[in-house]
Amino acid sequence: MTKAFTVARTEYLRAVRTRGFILGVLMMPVLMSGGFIATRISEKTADVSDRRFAVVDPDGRVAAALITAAAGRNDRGIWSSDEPRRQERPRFVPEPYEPAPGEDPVLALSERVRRGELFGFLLVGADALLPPGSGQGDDQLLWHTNTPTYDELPDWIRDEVNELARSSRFTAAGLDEALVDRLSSRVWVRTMGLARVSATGEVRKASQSSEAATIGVPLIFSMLLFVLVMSTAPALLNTVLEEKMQKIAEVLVATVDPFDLLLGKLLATASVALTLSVIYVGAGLIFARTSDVVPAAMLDAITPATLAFYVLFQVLALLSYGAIFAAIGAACTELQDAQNLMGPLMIMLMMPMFFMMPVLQHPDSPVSRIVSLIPTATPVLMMMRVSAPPGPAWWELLAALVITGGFTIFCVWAGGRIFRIGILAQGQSPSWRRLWTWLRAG
Amino acid sequence: MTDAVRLDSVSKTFGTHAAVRSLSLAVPTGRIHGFIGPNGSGKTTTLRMILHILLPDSGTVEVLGRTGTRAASDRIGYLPEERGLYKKMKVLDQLVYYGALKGLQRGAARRAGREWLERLGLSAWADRKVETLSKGMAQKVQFISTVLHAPELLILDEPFSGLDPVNLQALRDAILELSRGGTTILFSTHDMAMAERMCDHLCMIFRGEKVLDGTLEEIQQRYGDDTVRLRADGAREALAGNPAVVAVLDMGRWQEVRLQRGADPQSLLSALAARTRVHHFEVARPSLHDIFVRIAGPEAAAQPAADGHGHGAPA
Repeated sequence: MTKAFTVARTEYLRAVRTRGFILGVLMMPVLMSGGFIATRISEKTADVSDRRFAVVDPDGRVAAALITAAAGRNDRGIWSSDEPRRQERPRFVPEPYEPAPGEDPVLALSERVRRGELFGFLLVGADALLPPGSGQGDDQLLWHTNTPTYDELPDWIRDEVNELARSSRFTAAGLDEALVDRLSSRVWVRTMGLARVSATGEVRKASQSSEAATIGVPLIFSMLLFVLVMSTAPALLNTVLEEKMQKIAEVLVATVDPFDLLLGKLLATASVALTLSVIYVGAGLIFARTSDVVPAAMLDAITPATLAFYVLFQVLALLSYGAIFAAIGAACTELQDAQNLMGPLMIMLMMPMFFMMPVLQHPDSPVSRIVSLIPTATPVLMMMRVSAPPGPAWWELLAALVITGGFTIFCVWAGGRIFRIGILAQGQSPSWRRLWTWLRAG
Repeated sequence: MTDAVRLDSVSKTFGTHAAVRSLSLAVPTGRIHGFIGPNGSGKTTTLRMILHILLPDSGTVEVLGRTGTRAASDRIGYLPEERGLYKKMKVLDQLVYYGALKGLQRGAARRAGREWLERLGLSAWADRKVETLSKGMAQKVQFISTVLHAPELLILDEPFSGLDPVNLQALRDAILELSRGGTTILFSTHDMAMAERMCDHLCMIFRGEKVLDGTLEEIQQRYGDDTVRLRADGAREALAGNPAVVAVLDMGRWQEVRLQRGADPQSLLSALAARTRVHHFEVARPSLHDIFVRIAGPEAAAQPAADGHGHGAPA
């Protein structure tokens, strides 16, 4: 056992002292927040060139309203709030267009768009502002462009024309628009938690439920658990394979019992993942407490029990997954063989990802209850259920711990037996049948 | 004198292949014991059983007074035939790790590592990664990792393969010094000349069975003095067709000739002198190399494996 700790210590230091580890620590938040950062960067460097567009409006009211609204927007709605003010969005520049007699405006304007003179053009139907069914049926608004992915402009046009249509319809019907707005305002439902009586007899009122707490916390912890397990445990396959291919294994097993060697490696892997957890969770908590970006309800939802279950499930997942990866590494002599063997196993190990959203939405559904008791999925899915209200029943939690604990012991035991024989086996392409033979003989 | 290693009727089979058959062997404490045999004869399997990496199917293995456990493993040093070092690890860190696995305190392992690196001329490489070392240097580092914890039993599998003469000399001196200090050395090799020069005691294993066991003198005595070592102009042609000659081991400038039983070396000398100029003619005991070839050469290899006895040995 002492030797297992010696192995664990060396393997742990080997892992955390590498440049790759430090880069990985720094890169993970960057990768996870990559989308956010990319959006911010693209906002800062957005194309703010004018979006000039033609409006073919026989009636003229829509074109006039768009010109007025664009002037207001260009004056107030496209600038940064900080000084000196900086243009953040493009100006919209509508220009009325009157087709020459016999001219097809779509053809003529399309050509101008192609030449880059216009960003697009709008065709306004004669009945566009009338209530549905009250005109001649020519009520379409057609936006033509060769940049259909840019939707800010057509969205703005839609909103402005709707505003105009609504206003003109109310006026035509003799209704007070402000009164209609007030009378048709929506009724909202607030989601609340439950009231309870504390140990001292004090009644604690139900507080408003926060999505950040009820969805954010379970999602963050289960994702972090899964990502850290899947980014550390597979490394065991490579290190064991490396030791085998470079003949280090024989030196090691001449000194250390193969089971102790495996145990040392598993402890090192678990320690690496826990180190990463401490760094990420710790940094996250410090950030949450010192900035006002994170809602207080989210912080309140992270209890000591949440953290304890996180550590427990992470260790169980690492020991079981790690033993599987190490056994496969020991059984193979080439990376290709290892990849072939890993294929079916990866589906089992990826299972929590497939069920993550269904479990989050319906944590107490029969499907959620069943899949969260399947050992390869339990650590991630039960972590999610533990931190998502109302949480699993105590017997479910107990069953999860017993089943996953048993599965972990089985994986380490079986992995140890395969490891013991596989680590010195050379020149044999591994198969599931052979692993089974080793498992029985080990 | 007690035995550092004692194997009693040990057998090991892999599937249908009997790697080691009822092998009994005693390695006396404090001696250099040569372990020879052709490739695939069961040497590595035997060494792995001594190291408790493999368990025998039958028989007992006693190492440093302990039977059937790994209890003695910290008192053993093992240099496997195929070297294994972590390429990305620094030399001294690697030595400290292997030392710690053998039960040394890290500080003691570090001190011992530095001393050995100094002794083998590798001090400047202590903080370099293993991948920067030449093959010879890496081999010396591997050797240091084997002896760092001052083992009582040192098992060396082909310790000199791939070494240049200077490094070979350095390693041989280190091994002999350890032997003088009382370390028992079990030494597997294909280099018969090295085995002749270094080993107090020799054991040969062929097709999983022991076929030789004793001191070099005892073994050579057993194979008689039917050998003539000679150097002559056009020796091969001059020897061709001589009825007294059973086999010629051609070493280029030298020939080692095995005579028919009862043949007179003087007759051979006369016949040779009549045909060519003879520079050297010596009636000798067969070399270990010749004995090895007699036992495991192509003729012996052609015999069925079940014929476990006799392997070219005189009656």
